[in-house]
Amino acid sequence: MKRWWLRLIHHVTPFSRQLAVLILLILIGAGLTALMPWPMKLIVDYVLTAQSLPENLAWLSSTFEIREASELLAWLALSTLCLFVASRGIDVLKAYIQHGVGNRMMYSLGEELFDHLQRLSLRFHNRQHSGDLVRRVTTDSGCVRELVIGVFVPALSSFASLLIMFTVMWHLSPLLSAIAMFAAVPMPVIIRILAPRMTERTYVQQEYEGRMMALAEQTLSGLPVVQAFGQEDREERRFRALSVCTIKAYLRTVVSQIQFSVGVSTTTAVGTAVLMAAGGIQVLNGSLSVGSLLVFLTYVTALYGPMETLAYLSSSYASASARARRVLEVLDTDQEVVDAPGAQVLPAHIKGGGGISFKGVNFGYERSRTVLHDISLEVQPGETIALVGPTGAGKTTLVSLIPRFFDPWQGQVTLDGMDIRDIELVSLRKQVSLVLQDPFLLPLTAAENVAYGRPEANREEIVAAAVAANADEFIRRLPEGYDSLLGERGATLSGGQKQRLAIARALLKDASIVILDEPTSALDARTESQLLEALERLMQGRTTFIIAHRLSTIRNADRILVLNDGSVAEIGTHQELITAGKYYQRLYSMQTTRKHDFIDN
Amino acid sequence: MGVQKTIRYRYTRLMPYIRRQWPGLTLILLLTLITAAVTALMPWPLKILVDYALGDTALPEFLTDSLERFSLIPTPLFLISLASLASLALFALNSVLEVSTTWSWSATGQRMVYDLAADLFHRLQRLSLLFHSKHPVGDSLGRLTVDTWCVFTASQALLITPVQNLFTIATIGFIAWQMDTQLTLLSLVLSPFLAASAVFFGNRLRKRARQSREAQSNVMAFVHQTLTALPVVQAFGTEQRNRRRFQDLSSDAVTRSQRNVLLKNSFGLINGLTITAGAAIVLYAGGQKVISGTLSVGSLLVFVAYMRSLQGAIESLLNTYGNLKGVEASMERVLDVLDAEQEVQDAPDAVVLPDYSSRAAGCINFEGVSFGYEPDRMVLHDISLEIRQGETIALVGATGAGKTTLVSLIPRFFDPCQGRLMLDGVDIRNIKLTSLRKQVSLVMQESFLLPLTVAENIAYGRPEASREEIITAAVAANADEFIRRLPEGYDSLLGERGATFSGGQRQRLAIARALLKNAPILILDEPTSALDSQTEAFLLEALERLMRGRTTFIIAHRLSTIRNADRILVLDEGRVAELGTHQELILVNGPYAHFYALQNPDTHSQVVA
Repeated sequence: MKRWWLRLIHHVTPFSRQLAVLILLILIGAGLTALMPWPMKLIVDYVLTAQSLPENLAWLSSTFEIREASELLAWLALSTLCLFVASRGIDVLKAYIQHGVGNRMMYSLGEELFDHLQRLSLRFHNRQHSGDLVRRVTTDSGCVRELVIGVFVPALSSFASLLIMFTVMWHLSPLLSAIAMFAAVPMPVIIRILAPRMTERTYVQQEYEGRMMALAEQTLSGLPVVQAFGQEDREERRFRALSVCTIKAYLRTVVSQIQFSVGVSTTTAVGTAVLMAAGGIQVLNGSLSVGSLLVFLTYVTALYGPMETLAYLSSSYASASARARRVLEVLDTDQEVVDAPGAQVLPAHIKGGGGISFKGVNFGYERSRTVLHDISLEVQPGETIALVGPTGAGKTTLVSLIPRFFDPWQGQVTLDGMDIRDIELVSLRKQVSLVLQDPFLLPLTAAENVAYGRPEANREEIVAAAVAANADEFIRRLPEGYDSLLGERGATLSGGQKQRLAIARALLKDASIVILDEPTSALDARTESQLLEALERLMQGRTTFIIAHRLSTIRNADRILVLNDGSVAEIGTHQELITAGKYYQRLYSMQTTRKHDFIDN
Repeated sequence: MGVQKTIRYRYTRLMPYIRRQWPGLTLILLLTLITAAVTALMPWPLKILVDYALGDTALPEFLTDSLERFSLIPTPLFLISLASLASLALFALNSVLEVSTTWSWSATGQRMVYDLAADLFHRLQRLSLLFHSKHPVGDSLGRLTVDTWCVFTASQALLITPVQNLFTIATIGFIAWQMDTQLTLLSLVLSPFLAASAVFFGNRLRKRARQSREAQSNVMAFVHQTLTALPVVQAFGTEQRNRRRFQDLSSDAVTRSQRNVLLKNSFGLINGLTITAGAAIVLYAGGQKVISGTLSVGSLLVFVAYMRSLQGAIESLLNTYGNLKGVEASMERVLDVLDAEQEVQDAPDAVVLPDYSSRAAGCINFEGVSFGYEPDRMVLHDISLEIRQGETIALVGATGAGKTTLVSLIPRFFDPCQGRLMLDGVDIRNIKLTSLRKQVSLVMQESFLLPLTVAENIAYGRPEASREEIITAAVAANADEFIRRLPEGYDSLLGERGATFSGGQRQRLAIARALLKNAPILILDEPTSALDSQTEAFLLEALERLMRGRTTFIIAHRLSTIRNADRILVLDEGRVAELGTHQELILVNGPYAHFYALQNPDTHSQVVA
C-alpha cells in the first residue's frame, strides 16, 4: 500500500505535456503573486513621501516619461490592475487544465477498474455488492486526480511561492526573514503526529459511503420483493442508520483536520505578531523602510495560504490513499480465469460441433463446499446431452465450466482433445452459445439485444433468429418493433418473452456448442413445443447440453446424464436408462403417472 | 414567468431540509457575523503601526486618555508592541472562529444532505415498478449520492455566504464612509457591470451544469447495468465493446465538465477584473489625497485593505451565485424523484384491514379491469372475475397473455387503467397499502433474494418470526435439507441475489419466504418452474396443504402443477378465454383442452371423453 501511487502512475504519464504546462503556469503565477505588493511599496516609499526613485528603479521614470508624483501614482495604480489581470488569467488557465487533466486521469483509472471487473470471475462478483463496485469505479477512481491535483500541484505551487517570497524577504532584511522561517518549524512535527490517524479515519468514512450505496442498490434492484413484503420502512431505517454512522465517521475526519488547522494558525499568528514588532523596531532605527515593512507583512499573510496548503497535504494524501486502497483491492484480485501464455485461437466455426470431455473434474464455489465430484464424461461432436437431476445437483455448475466461467480445482475440460485452458478465452467463448436461467437482458433495443453476441449481424439475420425463437411475433407488436428500447432487465416483458429473446440471442450467435439451461421453463406448452422444433433443428450438427426438468424436452437427446449430489449417477440413452430402472426411470414414471391420474379422474 | 416559478418552486421545496438544521445554522450564522466584525478590525493594527508608531501622526484623544489611566506612555516602541499584540489577538480570534465554523458547518451540512438522501430513498422505494422500469438503477443511485449535495451548496449559497458577505460589506462600507465619503463612492462606480455579468451568466451556468451532471450519471448507469448482467457479458464476450463504450461516455462527461468549468471561470475572471479596476481607481484617488495631505498614509493602507476585503466579499457573492446556478441542475434531478407521481398510493380515507388475527376473507373481484404499462398498449382488456374465499384459481395461457400482469394488480403494484378490484367488497384503492400487502403472499418468477442470511431472507416479510417458524417454513418448502448442509446453516450469508445457489434452491427459499408470511391470499407465479419432478412433487404436496383455506392464484405451464385447482382461467391476449373446472374445460374442447393435449401426447386420444 505504501507506494500505491507508483502502481497507478501510468494513468498520469499520458498527460505529462499538460502537466509541464501546468507547472510552468504555477511558477509564473508564484512570481506574479510575489510581485503584487510592490506597486504599493513603491507608492508608500516614494510617491507619498515625495522621495525620488532610487537608482535601480530610475529607469522606470525615464521609460514612461514620468515627471510628476501623481503620474507615477497613476502608473503604479494601473500596474496593480495589470498584475491582477495577469495573475487571474493564469489562474483561469491553470484551473481549466487542472480540471480537464484531473477528470481524464480519473476516468482513465475508472476504465481500467471497470474492465478488470468485467473480467473477474462470477465467483468474485457473487460475493460483492454491485452498488459498492459502482462507487469504486465512479468515485474512488478519483484517487489519482486527488494525488496530482490535490497534493502535487498545491505542493509545487506552495513551495514555489514560499521560495520566491523568502528570497525577496532575505534581500530586504535577513533578520526578519530568519524570524519568519522560525515560524515554519513546528509544521513538520504537526504533520508527523496527526497524519496516520487522518488516513485511517478517511478510509473508514469512505467504506461507510460504499455501504450506503450498496444498500440503496440492492433495495432498488429487488424492489418487487421489498414492496410485496412491505419492508420499505425497515430498509429506510437501515439507510438512516448507515447515514448516521457515515456522518460520525466524517466528523471524526473533520476533527483531525481541525487539529491541523489550529496548529497552523497558531504558528502563523505568532509569527506575524513577532514580525510586526521586530519590523517596527527596524523601521524606528532606520534599517528598513515603511514600504519594505509593508511588503514583509503582505508576504507573511500571503504565506499563510501556502503553509496551510502544505499542512493539509497530508489530509488530501490520506483521502487519496484511502480511495486508492479501495481501487487496488479490486485490481489486485486475481482474474482467476486467464489466457495461458501461448493460448491458441480456434477457427471460426468448428464443423459439426466440437467434442467435449470432462476428465476427473472437481469444483466448488467455496473451498469448504465441493459441488462437482470427480466428473468424467465424453461427449461426441454433434451429440445432444441432456442433464437431469435434483435441484442443486450441480447441473448449471457443470455446464458453466465449458465456457470457462470457472476453472476446475482438479481435472480438465477438453475441446477436441485440447485442454480449454490452452485456448484463448475470447476464441473459446465464441464457440459457445448460452441460454441461462436468468435471461439478463440489457436496456438496449430489441434488435441490439438479439445481436448482442454478433453486433455486425444485419437486420435479416436478426429477424431470422427471432423467428426461429418464436419471438418475432411479439417483437413486431412492440411500439417500435425491433427498435423498441427495453427497460432495465427487460422489465416490461413477460418471463416467456424475455426467455425467447435470450434464445434468439443465442441462436444468432450461431456457435458450434450450445448450452441450454432450462430454456423453456417459463413457456407454456404450445410455445414450448414450437420452440423445441426450432431448437431441434439447431441442435443438429452442434454439440448441445440441455438442462431441463420436463422430460418431454429431453426425450430426444442422444444421451441423458443424471447428476446427483455432484456426481454422475447414470448416463445412457432414454431406453437404456428406463431399462436400468434407477433414478431416471423413477423420474420418468413420476411424470407420466400423474398424467394417468388426471385421466382416470 | 413559468420558468421563474419553477426555479422558485425548487428552492421552496428544498427549504424544509435546510430549516430542519436551524440550531446548527443559527450557530454558524452567529459565528460568521462575529468573523465579519473581526475581519473589519484586522487592518487596524497596521494603521497603528504605520501612522502612530512609525509616522508622525498624533494618537486620537480617547487612546491617549485611556493609556494615561493605566499610566502607560505611548512611546513608539510601546505602540509597536501594542500593534503586534493586537494583531496576534485578532488572528487568534479569527482562527478560533474559523475552526468552530468549519466544525459546525461540516456537521450541519452532512446532516442536511443525508436527511434529503433518506427522503429520496423513501420515495424511490415507494414509486411504482412502472417508474423504475424507465429509470435505471444506476441513475437513481447517482441522484441519491451525488445530486443530494445540492442542499449543502444551496444552503451555503443562500444563507451563510450572503449573510457573511453582506454583513462584511455593510460594516466595512460604514467605516469607510466615516473615513472618507468620496473614496467610498468611487469604489461603487463599477457595480452596474457586476450586475450585468450576473444576469448574462446565470442561466448559461445552470444549463452547462445540468449537462455535465447528466453525462456523469450516464457513466454510472452504464457501469451498474454492465456489472449486473455480467454472466451475459462474459458469455457473449462483449468486454472490449463495453470498454470502448465506457471510454465514449467518460469522454463525453469530461468535455461537458470542461465547458462548465470554462464558463464558471470566465464568470469569475470578468467579475474580478471589474472589481480590481474599481480598487485601482480608489488607489489612485487615495494616493492623490495623501500627496495633497488630506489623508494619512496609514488611513490609505486601511482603505486599501478594506477594498481588498470588499473585493473578496463581492466576488464571493458572485461566485456563490454561480455555484447556485450550477447546483440547480442537481436540484432538478432530486425533485424529479421527490415530485414523481406516486401512481400507486394510499387514498386519503384509506382503511386498515383487520389484523392477522382476524384477517381478510379473501373474496376477490375484478370488475371490468383494463391495464397497460403504456397508455396506448393495453395488456389486459376488460377482465371480470369473481373469486370466492379460499378458492384456488389456476391461470394458464400463452406467454405474454397477461397472467403475471393480472396477478400484479392484486397487491397493487399497479392500478388498473379502467375498472376496479375489490377485496371482500372494498375497492383495494381504498385500503391502506401496507395493510393490503400484508394480506398477500407472493412467489414471483424471479426470486429476488437479498444479500442477507438465509434466515433473514425467509423471514423477510415477518422479521419478528422465531427460528422455529423459519425452519417450519423451510421444511414445508423442501428447503430445510439443503440449508442445513451449508457451512453456517441458516446463518449463511447469501451473495447478491442469492447467486451462490442453484435456481431451484433460490425458488424454494422464495417459497419458504412466502409461506412464513402466512397471508390469506397466495399468489404463485410459476413456483416450480426451476424444480425437477421429484422436488416439485414434494413441494406440491406442501403447497396443497397450504392452499387450503387460502385464496390462491397459481400460474403454471405444467398442467401437473394445477391439477387440483378449483377453477382454471385461460387468458388469451389479455382477455378471459375460458373459465371452469378441469373437467368442464376438457369437455368444451377449447384452448385448455389443446394445452392439455400438447403436454400429454401419448394420452391425446384419451382426452376426448
